[in-house]
Amino acid sequence: MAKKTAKSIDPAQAAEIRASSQGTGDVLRQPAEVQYAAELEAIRQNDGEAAPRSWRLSPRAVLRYLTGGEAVDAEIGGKMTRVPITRKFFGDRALVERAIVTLASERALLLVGDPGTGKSWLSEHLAAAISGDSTLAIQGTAGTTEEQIKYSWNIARVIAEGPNPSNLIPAPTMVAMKAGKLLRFEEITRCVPDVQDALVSIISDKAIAIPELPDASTVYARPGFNIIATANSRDQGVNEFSAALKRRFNYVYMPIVADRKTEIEIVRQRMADLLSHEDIPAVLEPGILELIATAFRELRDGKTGEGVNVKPPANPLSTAEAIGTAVDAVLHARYFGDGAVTGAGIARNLIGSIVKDDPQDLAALKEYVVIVARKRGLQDPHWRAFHDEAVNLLG
Amino acid sequence: MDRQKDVSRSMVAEAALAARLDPDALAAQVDQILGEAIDWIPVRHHSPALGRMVAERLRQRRPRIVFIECPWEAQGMIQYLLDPQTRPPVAIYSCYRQDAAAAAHAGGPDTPGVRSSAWYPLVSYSPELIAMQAARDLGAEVQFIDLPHFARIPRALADPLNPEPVSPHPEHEPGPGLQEFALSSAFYQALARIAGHRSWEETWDALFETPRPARTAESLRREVALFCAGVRATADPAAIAADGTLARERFMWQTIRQTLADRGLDPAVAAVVCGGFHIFLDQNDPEPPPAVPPVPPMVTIAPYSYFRISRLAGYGAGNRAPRFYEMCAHSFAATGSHDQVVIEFLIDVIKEARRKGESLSVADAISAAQHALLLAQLRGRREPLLDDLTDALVSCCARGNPLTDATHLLAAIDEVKIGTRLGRVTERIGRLPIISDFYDQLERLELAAVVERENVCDYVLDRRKPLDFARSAFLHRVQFLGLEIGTVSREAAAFGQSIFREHWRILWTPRLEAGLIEKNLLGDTIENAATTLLTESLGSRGAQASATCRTLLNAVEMDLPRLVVQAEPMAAQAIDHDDRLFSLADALAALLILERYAAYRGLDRGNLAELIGRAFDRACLAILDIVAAPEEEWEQVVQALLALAEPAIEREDMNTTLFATQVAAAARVSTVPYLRGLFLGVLCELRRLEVDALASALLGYVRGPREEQIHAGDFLQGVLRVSRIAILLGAQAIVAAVDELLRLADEESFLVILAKLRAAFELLHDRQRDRIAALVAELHGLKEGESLRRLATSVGAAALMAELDASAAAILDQWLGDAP
Repeated sequence: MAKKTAKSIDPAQAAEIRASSQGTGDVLRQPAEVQYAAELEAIRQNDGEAAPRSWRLSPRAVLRYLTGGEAVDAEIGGKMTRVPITRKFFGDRALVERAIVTLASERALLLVGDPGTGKSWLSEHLAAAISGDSTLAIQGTAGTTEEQIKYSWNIARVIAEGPNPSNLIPAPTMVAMKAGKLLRFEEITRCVPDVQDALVSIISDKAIAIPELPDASTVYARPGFNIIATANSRDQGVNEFSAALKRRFNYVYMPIVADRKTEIEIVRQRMADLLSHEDIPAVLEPGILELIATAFRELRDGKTGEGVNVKPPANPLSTAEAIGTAVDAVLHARYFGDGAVTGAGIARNLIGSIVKDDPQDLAALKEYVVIVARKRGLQDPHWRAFHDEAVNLLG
Repeated sequence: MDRQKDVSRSMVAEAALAARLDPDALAAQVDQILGEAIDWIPVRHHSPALGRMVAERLRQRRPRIVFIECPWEAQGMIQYLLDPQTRPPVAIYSCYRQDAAAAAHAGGPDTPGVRSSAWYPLVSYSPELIAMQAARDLGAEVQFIDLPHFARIPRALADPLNPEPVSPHPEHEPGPGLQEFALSSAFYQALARIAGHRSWEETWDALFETPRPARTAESLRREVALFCAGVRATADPAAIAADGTLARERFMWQTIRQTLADRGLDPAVAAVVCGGFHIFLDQNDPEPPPAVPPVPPMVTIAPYSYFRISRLAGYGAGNRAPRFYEMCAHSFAATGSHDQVVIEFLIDVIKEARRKGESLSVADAISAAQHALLLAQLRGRREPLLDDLTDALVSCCARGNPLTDATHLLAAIDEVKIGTRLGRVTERIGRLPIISDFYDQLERLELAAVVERENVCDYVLDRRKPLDFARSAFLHRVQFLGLEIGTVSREAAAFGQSIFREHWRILWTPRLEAGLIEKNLLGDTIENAATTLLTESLGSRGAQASATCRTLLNAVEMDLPRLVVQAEPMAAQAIDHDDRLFSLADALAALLILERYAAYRGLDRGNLAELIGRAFDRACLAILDIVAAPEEEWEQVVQALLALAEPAIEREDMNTTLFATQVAAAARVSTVPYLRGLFLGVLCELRRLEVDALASALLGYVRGPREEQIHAGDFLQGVLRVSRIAILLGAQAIVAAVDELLRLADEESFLVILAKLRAAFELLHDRQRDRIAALVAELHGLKEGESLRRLATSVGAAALMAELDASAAAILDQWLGDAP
């Protein structure tokens, strides 16, 4: 039988991938290590502390990168530049410290919390800062198999040549182990328990056995390898970890943002980030931004700032939904309006965020509009516009 | 190079600059104070590191007199604090009382009486206690210098023209400590921001509690002084003036100067151990300190607990983790570091959490230890602090949201860090009057057995017997004072609970004595203290009928009949001004119990009957206010209606017609099915509504539209909650209505109705349920009990078989009918 050769990648395609991975291509979303390459380099140049083996930065430098809020001088592109380090993580600094320290230990890290609390975001930036590579990721689903975690085979070549190392298709775990980098495992609890437990020996032994290859039968992890997993606490169909797996993870619980001011800041910053892809300036009046953050917070908490109880919707109303509403409203105003976001525009976009499949959510929103928004609208034009449009749409 | 020291020093300097202070000027100020002849030793309450520093400093300098920031009026307690039989944690308790008559005599007819008390807790590593011990060992004199708390109640006594007396500080703390000053100072806020500290405790521990090899007593003294200088320089001067700090410092300085002058001592032989903030007091302040009132206070030493000290955390007298810091003190004494603490603390927490049910192991302890060390390193600390250890435990042992998924772990952390240590005081110290009275009463009432062992003692008391009556009154008084003496339950009687028989479960613990000490503020005997508290309670109830009448009941239970007479007009006022059904109904219930008691004791019941009538009438008038009560109030509605229905049915002097009219009106206007059921059920019990009418009301829901049908269950629940007559006399009609409902309801409605019907029928007794079941059987042609047999098949199959049976029977009947 003639040997089959693997189909080679179109050179034009390869060039585009390379260009995009170097940040010069036109892609929808660059990985964090590309998007924030200047910041990472600036911090690296100013990092005078020892880093764990294979880490790009010391733990304290990783912390600086994530908490931001300063500017450092560094040579970027041959020129000395003052590089502002933006804040990536808004929340309890101790939480980030615990996450960083966990990745330097022998345990894996599990970021757990309600949907939309920034778990994947933090995971990506940790991997970018520590390993310089946030793309070694596995997305957990009910259909995820052990092959997708460990390795699989190029069947055609195995048939032709028999199993050998060049026929093996390493999964991101194996790539991370060989390179001494971090593996990101998103939504790990969506995997069935048997598949989850494949991680037990990986985390304990830091090795993957390849029984099909008697001579090169084990891949050992290089220093720097670890796993960042994420899990939604509210998700349907989650599979509880086995006791053996639980013991191998450190849990870091990510709460919904506690205070209003921080939430507004997050929405503002993330909205600006997302809209920059469209070259749209993210200009929202402070009153509009406050309206979004306030409405989301009050519906989520089931209580207004004045102490009035309201029914919270069944959907988790995380900051991610607030960001989405803000972005949608800006886009809508830009493309279908006069560019200015109004309370009415927020009402139009907010309904879709809150009311999904449970009719009770509609009732909750109506109650909020009638009881809370109407009263505020007596004194605030943004709330008035919000109330009037919401009433018009909700009936 | 000590990197930790450099990190701290640079942060402090950076914080000073951020707070717009000149670091050199600050240092010069510190040098000047610390270079004075008097040896200033700045401390913070309950700091193990500063306790060590104090001991070493005093040993080096060997002063002849040591001034200590402790309550001046407690000077006589020093010998007891140092007594070998006294074991910390203990507290100096100072209590000052001037009754209204004495106050009027001192300050004029409108001068109110005053009460003030303060606790000064001390633990084994408190710098103040260590200073006393070191002074004793050196043969040095000790003088307490803190301004008495009652000298700050002040001005009403000193200046009768001043209409606004300064209120005393809270009982637990005589004045703000370093923490309170620091939190509001720009210097500390800058430091916390720069260092990334989350709390005052973290800052303090990071700067001062963590041992450093190169640090000496002198260098620590300077660092603390520098820190306090920064805090003082940026604290709000107006706040310092207003919170009593300046008055205290004037008193301290006057005491120091006066004592040195009286003793003919040179300042160079004196040491002052005081809060670091105060070493910068104004030595040239021209204003005199407040005068100390001539009336002497009562001062004693009381056992204290680590738990109580932890509850004061957040105030200067508190400590967030007494046991943890004790472990630190012991570890340092043994090894010169806190290394031992890390492992011991983690193991203790994990053991305790495992005992509570968490699934944790030694592997978790190992991980937590590693995590804590790494966190400390990341945070720039030489050793893990308590905050690092806690974070490590949460990371490694909490499997989810710590607040909901790791409650046992968090509880274990709290218990281990706080500890359960209870102090002991030497027997040489005399007792406060109220404590003597308490133990005398126990002897007199033959209850002394309760203090002989720390086990529960059971007493069944019959208040008709004189000894038991006296015991009951005493125990109720103790309980009313808020002291944890035990629990009481009353036996069930024909109507409600017995007013005579009580079952007491009494447990004496040392905590009770500590609580008793505080009650000395109210009176010298248990009876006086209870009377004072009861009188004050009555005065504060205002228009709360329920609370006022319950207080009346307390007076009866405590055998304070004089107060009952005094309180009756107040109860009348409260009833007249309270328009809430729940409060009025509860007041009525309390008055009815009082009436029964008064009948037994042969007391005059004239006024009580009047009050009962008034409460009843007003409660009836308030019924219409709850026709739309939310679900969380429904049980209260039930209790209120039953409280009114019982006297309405049993007594002839109640305005039953008013009650019935109001309930009927409520039933007409209420749109809440459950509440309508309640109202109509009550009318049924009053025989003001026929059972058939009740069943008709139920059928109204049954035959209504779908959205009304699902409310039938709520309505029935309401009826059955209050009405037994409905079951006794009207079960057949109700069963027929429910049967119709079940036939008419579609599947979706049925599922909703089912849960509510189940809840309704669960309200019935077994016999009542049997009766309902018998009626159902009868309705469906199963007349005799023998017709029933246990199903050996599914319900659906059994129903099909019954249908086939009935068809076969009908066919047979037809055949037999047609047969010639």
